[in-house]
Amino acid sequence: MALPGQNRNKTPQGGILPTLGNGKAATAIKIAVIVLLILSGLFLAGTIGMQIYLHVSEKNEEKPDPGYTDVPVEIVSPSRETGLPHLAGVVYDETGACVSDFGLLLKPDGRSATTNRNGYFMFDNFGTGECVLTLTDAEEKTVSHVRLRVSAGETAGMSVSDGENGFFNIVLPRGARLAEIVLVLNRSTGALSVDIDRITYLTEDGLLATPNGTAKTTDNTVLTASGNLCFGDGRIFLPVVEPDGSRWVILADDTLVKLESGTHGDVTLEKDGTVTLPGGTKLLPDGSVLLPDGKKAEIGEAGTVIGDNVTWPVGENPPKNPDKPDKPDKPDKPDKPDEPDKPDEPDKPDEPEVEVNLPHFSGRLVVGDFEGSYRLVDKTSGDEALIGSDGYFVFDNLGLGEHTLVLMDSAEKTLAEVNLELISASYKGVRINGNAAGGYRLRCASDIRLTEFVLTLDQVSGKLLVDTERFSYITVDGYVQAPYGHTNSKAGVIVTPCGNILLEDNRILLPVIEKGQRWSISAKDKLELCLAGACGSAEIDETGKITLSDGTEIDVDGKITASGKNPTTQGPTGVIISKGTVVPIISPKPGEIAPTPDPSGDLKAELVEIAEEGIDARPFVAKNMYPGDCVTKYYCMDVTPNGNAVMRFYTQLAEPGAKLGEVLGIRVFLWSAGADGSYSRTAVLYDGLMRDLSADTTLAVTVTGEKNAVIRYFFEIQVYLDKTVGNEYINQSLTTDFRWELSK
Amino acid sequence: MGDTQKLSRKLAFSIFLVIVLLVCFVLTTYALVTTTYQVVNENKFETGSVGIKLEDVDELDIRNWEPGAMLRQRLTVHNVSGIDVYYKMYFESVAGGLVDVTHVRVLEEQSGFVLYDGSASDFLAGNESLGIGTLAPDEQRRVVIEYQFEKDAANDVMGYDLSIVIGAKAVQVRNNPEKEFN
Repeated sequence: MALPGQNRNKTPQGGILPTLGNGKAATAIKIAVIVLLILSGLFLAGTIGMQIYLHVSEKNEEKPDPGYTDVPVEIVSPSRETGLPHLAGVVYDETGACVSDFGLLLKPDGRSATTNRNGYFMFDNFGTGECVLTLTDAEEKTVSHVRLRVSAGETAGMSVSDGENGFFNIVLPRGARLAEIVLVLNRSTGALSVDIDRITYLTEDGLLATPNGTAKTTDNTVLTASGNLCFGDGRIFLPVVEPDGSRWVILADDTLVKLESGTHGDVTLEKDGTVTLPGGTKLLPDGSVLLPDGKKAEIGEAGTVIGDNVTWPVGENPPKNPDKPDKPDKPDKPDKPDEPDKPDEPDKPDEPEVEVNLPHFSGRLVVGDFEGSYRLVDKTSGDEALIGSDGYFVFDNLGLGEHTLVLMDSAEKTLAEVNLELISASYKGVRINGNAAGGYRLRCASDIRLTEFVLTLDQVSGKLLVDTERFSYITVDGYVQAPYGHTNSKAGVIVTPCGNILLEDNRILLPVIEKGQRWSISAKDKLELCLAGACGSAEIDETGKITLSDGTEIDVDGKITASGKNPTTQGPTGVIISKGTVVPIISPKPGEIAPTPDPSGDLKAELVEIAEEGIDARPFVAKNMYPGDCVTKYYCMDVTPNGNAVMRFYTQLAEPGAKLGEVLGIRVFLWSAGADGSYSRTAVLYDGLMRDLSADTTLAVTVTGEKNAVIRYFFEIQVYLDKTVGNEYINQSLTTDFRWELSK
Repeated sequence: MGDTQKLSRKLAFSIFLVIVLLVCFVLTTYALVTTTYQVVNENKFETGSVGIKLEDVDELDIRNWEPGAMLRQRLTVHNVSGIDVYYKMYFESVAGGLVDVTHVRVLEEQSGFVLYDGSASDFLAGNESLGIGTLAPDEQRRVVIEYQFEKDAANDVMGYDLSIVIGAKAVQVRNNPEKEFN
């Protein structure tokens, strides 16, 4: 029996291998093995370290969500029920081009549809529940998919939201027959999504609700944005024309049939698929509408109402037909015979009837020093609003419709303007996006009472820009949506970020004081001055200072002082004042789930991290700055210090020698929450030249928090040019990175 | 046997060393990543410019100009900047034997707003009594300069000349309530 180490070097062929511990060769082998071990170890350790780093930094880096996978998607929930509504729509790519001849596979039903040349598709009896629409190209390769969760609610309108787990939640009102959606394929990322601002539905009663307004198919035939032609008798002619000219139609009983050329009731279907309406108006196979006089009708963005030899966009009033003579005035009604006198009723206080046209429109102008002699004028109505303290302005009853707000100085000079389209929306809340006129379209639900926007000035284009992500609104039932959360008037008195104060009795006190009297919007939406004394549930003194029922005071400068507490302001979040406490309006985003503390105490729990959620990561861009200008932007930062950590903010100039760096100043304020949760400026982190702001010159702040506790901070960043800046700095630019650093 | 034990000890020591090194490396890597950053890139700040141009300037012909006669010269002031500006006009230089007998009045043609009314020799940039007009972005305004040959000028100035260079400067209205031009 061979002892260990003996004869192990003998190969079966009798060859010789170097023997361990045998001279120089053995030493060489030993070193080689050790080096190999060290290298492997280093590689392993580096990998572990990188994994930890990536784990930490994955929240800090925005990763483009591809939004799709080639792996077949399984539906977790089996709650699928076919039936109404039918689902139609169009597929566009990110450039707005139609995605035609692509397949759409509906899972788990297994049905499919193909987009036509206009990107149109339709699933009859689509039903409710969770499903996946998979988009495939002409070679039937999966391009992308979108998850839908369709439900029928008790709501009056339809709402669509980008919900959790990647599902788009579509909540339809009861009685919805047809839902129309717009799918957007981002060809660069492959993501397929539902455009939540372009939703249309048709009810059993013939009401077509679109983002721009409603139309009744019982009054006029209506062509939807996707191309469905809806009749008052319930028939829906789809924009699907077969080669033989026949068309697919959903009948009033919701069955899908193919109609061949011929007369079908009061509608004639030509051999080429053209639909001729009773008045002679024709719907051509390509989706365009030809009026009886041979002119092509303009198609509305959200649908088109087809009248007698005239069409108009859904949501707008029918144009006056010049051919038709004005209707004669109705004859006066004969006087009613005198009624017998009723017994006298006690006199009611006089209340002048004021026509209220919601919503009120308020906000803040944040660029430049416009206070005092500047004002905003609504060209449409001639109404004007003075720019007050802190850039605040308010339009009483701006109302729906198109408005052009013009910023003017005291010499009647126009500085800038903005086009606003306020339109009624069928879904809840306020949505805002660009319109064709280069302005903004604000879709407001009918219950919006007051909207609040931040405007900035672009000198080059001469336009006022609306911050489309940081706005607030108040509804008629006291719901308040603020940039970082929502609440309602039952929670207490609410001060919005622009300084509007919503009392418990729904009166809104404005931060506008005239000769010691404060303006307010009554619960009935009338603008009125509050005299000294009781005003709703608040007391106002002769200077305009407000004392709330819990003793909290709001002075004329907007400072909020709860009993026994230091003064604060509403800050960028807005605040709720209740029972002597002032707390910011911060709440999770829809669908956001609060993180569960990790009890295991693993590495991640010990690490410091800056959370992605809540940060406004848009770059700070200010163009056409002039001497004396100061531009402000807020950044929100969630911090998990897990004990003590040091936080710094500083900049890194792209070109350290940039000329503008010699004069461009920056002030950085830290806003943090006090013991009562209210936010206030707690530190000036830096005030000086931007080029000199570094990790060494900025004020480092120690932040403390329990394990996994998330602390929210706001950074107010002011970028300014001194009034003395001279001509040599015109047309200069400077690019910089903003860096927040958090270290143990 | 002794060699083998030695070797085993050395190997054990080496492995122990490797483990210690690994632990140190993991700890330093971990320490490195306890500092985290959040970065907002490409923040951009740009200054605007203020510009003014004199365009369509009529030629001034002083031939046959005699005491008591007035010459008119028209020109256009054009605000080529993107914001409202204050502007004022002046002579960059003025020379010639007629300077002292020439009275100058400068006014906006449409509004009649007088930008200057005084002697030609004083119509200079440093004169604090120069009138200040305002121009909207891209606004063009016609301005008339009236040159009045003093009636009582002596005959000995006849044959003298007048040489002028017209100038204008502008400054932003925004943040400039004092109409500060410097």
